[in-house]
Amino acid sequence: MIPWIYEHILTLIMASPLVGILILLIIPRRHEEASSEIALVSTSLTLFLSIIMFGFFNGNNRFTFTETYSWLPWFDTAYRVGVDGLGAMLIIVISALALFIVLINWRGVKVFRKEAYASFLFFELGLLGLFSSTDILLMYVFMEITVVALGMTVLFFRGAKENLHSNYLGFMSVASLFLLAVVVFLMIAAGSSNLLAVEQVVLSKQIGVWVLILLLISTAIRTGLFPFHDWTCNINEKSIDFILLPVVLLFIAAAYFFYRLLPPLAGITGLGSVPLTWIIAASIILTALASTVQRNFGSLIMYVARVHFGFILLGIISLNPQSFTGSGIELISSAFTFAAITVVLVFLNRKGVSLEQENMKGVLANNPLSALFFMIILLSVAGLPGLAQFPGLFMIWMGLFKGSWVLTLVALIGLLLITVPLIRFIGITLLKKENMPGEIMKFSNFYFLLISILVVIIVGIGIFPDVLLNNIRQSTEAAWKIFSQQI
Amino acid sequence: MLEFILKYISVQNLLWLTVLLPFLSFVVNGIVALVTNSRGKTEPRAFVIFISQFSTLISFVSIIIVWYILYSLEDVSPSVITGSLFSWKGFLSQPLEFGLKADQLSLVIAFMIAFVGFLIHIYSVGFLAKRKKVSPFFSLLNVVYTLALFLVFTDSLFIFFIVWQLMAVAGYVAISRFFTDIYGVKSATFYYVTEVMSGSAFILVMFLVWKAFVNQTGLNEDIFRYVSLQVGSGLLLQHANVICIALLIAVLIRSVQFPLYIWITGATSANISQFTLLYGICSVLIPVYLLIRLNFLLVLSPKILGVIGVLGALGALYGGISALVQRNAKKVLAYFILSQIGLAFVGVGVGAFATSLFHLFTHAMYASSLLLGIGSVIAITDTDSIDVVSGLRMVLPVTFWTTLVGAISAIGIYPFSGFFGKNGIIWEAYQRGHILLFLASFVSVILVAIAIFRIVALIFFGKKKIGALENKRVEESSVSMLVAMVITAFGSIVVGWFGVSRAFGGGDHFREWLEPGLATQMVHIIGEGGRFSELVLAVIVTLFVAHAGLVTWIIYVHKRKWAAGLALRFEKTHKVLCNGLYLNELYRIAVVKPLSFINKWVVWKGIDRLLVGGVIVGSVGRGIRLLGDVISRYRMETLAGYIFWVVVSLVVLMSWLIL
Repeated sequence: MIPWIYEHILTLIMASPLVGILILLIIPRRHEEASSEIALVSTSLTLFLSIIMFGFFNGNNRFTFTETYSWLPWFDTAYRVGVDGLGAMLIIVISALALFIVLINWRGVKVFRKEAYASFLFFELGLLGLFSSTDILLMYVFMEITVVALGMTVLFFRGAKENLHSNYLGFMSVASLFLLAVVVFLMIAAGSSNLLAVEQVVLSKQIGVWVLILLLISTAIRTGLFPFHDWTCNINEKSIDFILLPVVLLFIAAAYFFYRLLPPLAGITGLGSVPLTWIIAASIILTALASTVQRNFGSLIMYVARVHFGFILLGIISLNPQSFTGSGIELISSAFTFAAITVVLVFLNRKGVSLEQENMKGVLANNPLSALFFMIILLSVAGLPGLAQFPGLFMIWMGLFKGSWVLTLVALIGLLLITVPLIRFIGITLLKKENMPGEIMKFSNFYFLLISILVVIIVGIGIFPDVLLNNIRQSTEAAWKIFSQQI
Repeated sequence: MLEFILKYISVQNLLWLTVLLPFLSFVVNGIVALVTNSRGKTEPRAFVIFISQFSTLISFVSIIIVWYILYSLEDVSPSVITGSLFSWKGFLSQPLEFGLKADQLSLVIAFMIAFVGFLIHIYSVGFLAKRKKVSPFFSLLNVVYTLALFLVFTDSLFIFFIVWQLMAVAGYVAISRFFTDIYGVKSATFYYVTEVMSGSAFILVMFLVWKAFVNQTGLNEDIFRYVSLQVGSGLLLQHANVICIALLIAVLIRSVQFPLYIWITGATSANISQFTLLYGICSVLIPVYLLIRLNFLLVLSPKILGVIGVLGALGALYGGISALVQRNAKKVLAYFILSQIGLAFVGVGVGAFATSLFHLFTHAMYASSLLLGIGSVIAITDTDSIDVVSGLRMVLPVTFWTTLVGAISAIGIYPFSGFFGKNGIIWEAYQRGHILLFLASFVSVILVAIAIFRIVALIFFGKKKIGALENKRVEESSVSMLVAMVITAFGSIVVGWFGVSRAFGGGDHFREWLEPGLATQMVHIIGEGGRFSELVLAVIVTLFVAHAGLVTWIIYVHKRKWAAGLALRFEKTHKVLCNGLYLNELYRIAVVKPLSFINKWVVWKGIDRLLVGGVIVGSVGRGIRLLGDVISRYRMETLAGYIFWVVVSLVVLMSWLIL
């Protein structure tokens, strides 16, 4: 039994939300109150299996826990799964955060509960599938599942039609189309959709540039990079508490796809010298500049998230071991940091506090522990050493510096710019007011527990980054080997 | 006694003790603060005070013992290196170790920090007596103290950077006064952003070093360790100018040096207390310490050394001029510190590293004496305006005498400590041929003498006036505060005697202790003739300073109307000086406002929302909607629709055939 589980662990992980979805679809509407419990069991099971997977994981081979079942007759397309260090870490992060999302929205869904949780599990399935796949067509399918499921989840969870509306669908359709073109092209060039085969493809510069541009635009849309970010601006403050984390997970998925498909294009990107890196850098600066004048905390966090994912893309496209590893760490640490911000947003939303700067004055002032946690979380986003975001950012900048010191300077300016509003919000939120009752703004035990765990993780990653680095290095070194051959 | 101690604890562990005990105190007091504040309970006040005092006392004593042990060793460059507490292996090919190292240079600075830190802890017991809760304050003091010592004892540039950034957070909380007033919070925000700028410059320094070293074989150690940098400094020669420029920017911001000093006036105005003092002393001394620590890098770039000297001289002059006419006691002290650090920069700029450090060593004492004294006055009278307070020498005699001793030392009168420190800098600038720097230093010392005597005369002499507390009884500060003030005043007299140069019959012990660790090419051997010149110059400087002080005292004690008349006569100049030459305003108008405008109206509302969100995305959306309308209007089921689609198809087909 145990060897069987070992051999099929990734499939089992993916199957666990699927079971949840099936049960949710089967149960009659009159019993839909149990939807959150079903989602809880399903996500817990996924997390349990992910922990087992991570326990057994060793980075001896390029991919571990591989399974292959023939799927389509063309292009050697198969159900191919397997994980390396980064994939394994991301699976465990997603499993943990899926459970986390279910918990913070506990009893928060009032209508269409079945549909809401089924969509969410579908979203989780998409992400897990994406991080487990080693077949680019399969990855594409899971990516699309993720995108569609996110739209549905938001719709059902909040009934928020005004949020991820047609704008989201429009942008995502274009991104999907471009990504499909890239996937199909790479499959034709490699004669296979196997990721290992695709990595070995050598493209001519003329064609490769276009493929890279399509891939970059697709990723830019999905990570909200300027000027393809408009869909992120439609998220209003009433829904940001729920939408933020799933959107950040979508950003992670898009960046991960970019990370995986870049090897065959490495030969034409060079070492951070292409104009594309400068375009990303300019995009980061414009986003960061706009962030400095945000007076709504929710909007600010979206801008800041986009800047961080700009850093990640910049790290990936710079193509050197340091920035590549740094981007991997950033993917994981961002998930935790923005999850912690989500708790704060949910808490403020439940207390009926508007996220406008004026209304946030002193909301956490009378509760020192909440204030401390809030400060730690925002300082982590601001790249303070000793907290989660710093190791990844430092390595990205280090890698950038190898190619061009100006790029590093631009990245540092980007971070400086987002620090301004973040620090302003810390000051405003913690500013003591005489008439502010402390008890009202106190985290309940439940929120307190969740945020404590996340803060411990944020500080833990900051102090002991080697835990992440050791796991990620194996996959980045393998990728770097391929890049070196290509270059 | 020493043997007895060493039987139970090694030197390495003693060194760890210097940072770990205050850190433990920070954690415990922090937990007490969080728990009692969250649950509204009374804190164990005596326990909080005890552990914070005890931890700093043991830390201070440990530093003295370590120093004594190293001093006893017959080694030219004695040092103690601890093992690594933990390390980061993933960043570079070599692990980054979190360990401590004590040597001649670090021990001098550590002693200063520990001594002043310990006194401030004692002072705080009285200063915070009226506060309901003291645990947050002591926790913050402990963490600043710990981080400052960690900065001094680390032997790695990377660890220095990390701890420096953490120190900025502590400074942020301190300047915001625990987020109790909006002005403090604004100043703290401004301060933190400038610290991030400083950190960014520091990152560039590290990357430049890394780039120079990364492809070198045979480097088996952490490349950011000072010793590795020193050994491989030849590799850095190519990038020396750039590295030194980045380092200078990082240091200028942190050490509030001209022209990047802007955060200090706001920060000090928002908050003068034991935090300002401890944080101020640590945050401005440590950057200069870093410059001196990296002296082997600076000597690779003589141009940048020159720039450091010039900026230091400008800072010393600017601080001196601006301190002259301020009506706010906190601002006078802020500009005074700016001027003193400027002098230290002049010392570094002319290559007199040990002298520069000696000046800072004495500065730590007289600045403490002045800040604690005037801080007490502000706390007692509840005002920082020197217009509404005067004649306090009779009601606050101990405060008056300790402040006066600090003031005399600060202006550099023999035999007080400041005399030896300041004259050292002026003499080094002169004898190394930097005449302009010498003149600027000379003038700045006179300006500071006027500014300091003015504030002392205004506060303590003249008709008794106690601000808003006119009818209330005014009493001296508590015993703990007075003890700290008396000790710092005593220190203002004696610490200078540790480094009396040979010109004054001393043994130059301070320099002799430090110089083995400094770049040899910058150490000057001074002959007998030089010593005589030093003596003559010191007499001239002292005479000028003493006269300036005396005239100031006469004016502000007996001829205040004359001073007021002068201010009225030169009203515009007076206003310009009061506003610090409007440099802060200039910065606000030239940098902050345009940036805010561009960010809001051009980038966000213009490009982001209007151009991208409105025009581009909106047009695409409208285009798609229009297409949808056309398609839905001309459906195949209607005759018009049928005809429309036939025509469209024909056009497409014919176009394809023709083209």
